[in-house]
Amino acid sequence: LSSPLLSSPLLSSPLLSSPLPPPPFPHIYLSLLQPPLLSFAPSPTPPPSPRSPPPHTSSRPSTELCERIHHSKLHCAMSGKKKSLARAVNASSVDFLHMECVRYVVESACPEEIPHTLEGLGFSVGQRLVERYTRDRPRFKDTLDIIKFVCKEFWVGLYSKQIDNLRTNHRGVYVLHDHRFRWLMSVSPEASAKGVPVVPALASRYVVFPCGLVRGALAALGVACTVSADIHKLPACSFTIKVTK
Amino acid sequence: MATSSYKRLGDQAFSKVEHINSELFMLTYGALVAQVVKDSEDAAEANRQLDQMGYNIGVRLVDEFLARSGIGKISTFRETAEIIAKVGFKMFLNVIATVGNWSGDKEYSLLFDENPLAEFVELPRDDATKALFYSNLLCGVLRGALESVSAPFHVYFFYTLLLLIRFYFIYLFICFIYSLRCSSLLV
Repeated sequence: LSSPLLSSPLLSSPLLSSPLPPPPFPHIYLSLLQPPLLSFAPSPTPPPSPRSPPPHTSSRPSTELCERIHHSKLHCAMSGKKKSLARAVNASSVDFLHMECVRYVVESACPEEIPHTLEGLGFSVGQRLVERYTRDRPRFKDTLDIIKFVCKEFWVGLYSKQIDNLRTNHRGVYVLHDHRFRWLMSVSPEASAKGVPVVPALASRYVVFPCGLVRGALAALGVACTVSADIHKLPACSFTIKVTK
Repeated sequence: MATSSYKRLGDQAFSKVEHINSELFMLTYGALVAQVVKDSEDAAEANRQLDQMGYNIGVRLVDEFLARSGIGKISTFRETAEIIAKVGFKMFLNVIATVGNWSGDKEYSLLFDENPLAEFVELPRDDATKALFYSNLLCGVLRGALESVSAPFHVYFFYTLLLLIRFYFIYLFICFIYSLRCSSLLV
């Protein structure tokens, strides 16, 4: 009575070797770093949705100032000669930044909160990133289409490669398998007593952020889900997406 | 060594490495700064944390830089300035700085046209965040990288309303950095 599993390797489509094409000018972007996120107040502020329009009437003077700046910059950019914002950086810069991000959260948060914080960071980044990547795309047909987009274009934008294997049971569970996950490439396996290399427990820290990325991307595209990752053999890693209704 | 040859070296180094889109980098850094700010009590603490993170990155980064850039032996401090500006930043962040404002032989500034970390960022002009140096990670990276290969540098970060980032290096002691955060556009 096992549910049918569909295995669809995605190796046939050519890799996108060039970076994503720059968006056409003039650009209109959602504000990607909302003011309430940068408050020093100890009480937690509710995370703002990146899709919500900026408040037109606000009591805080800083928000008003922000809006004025936004409008003036928008005006400048529409009329000015700002060149395209899409640019390439060294991939190792992102690797270093992610390593440091993990180190910071591990050292500063209590152990129970570490996965939550890291995943939250990944969630916010994923939400914003996917809005950039789905800019000029036609509407998605269904959830499988969205997952395939994540496997192909989104993963290429993040790691310069596609997901190697996608499996689904057509009931809302998708398993994305990556044979050489970029952020695990520099994690070395421990040698166990038997001589077989074993995945160190700390390696799981490095896949929490990508889980958040995927969850954020799917949430922004309208798919509520939970994402978990398993590392069976370094550097391969599989992400399990469970769509929640 | 001519500046143009360093520029060419930088282009070569950048073309040899793997590229990805800078948006992931910028957004991750933004989320990280937001987290650091949330965890810190004030701006000075946040700046210190960002600097420390940059330091850790810089210590590792310098190995990759030296391995991949093809830089030979450097004899003068002025050459290090040019190398950082043209080759170092080009190789990792795909931006080029100009070196200027030499004062004596021990202090100079690096000027950038655009901040590679802050393309999508708009910070509120609160009193609290006014003292925050958004790109303080870069200071730490420079400090860490230079400390690993030579005498220690100190890097400090100031904020002004100029459209440039300026790094002032004072050999062995103090570096000042002026920066502006470029803004995002709002729907």
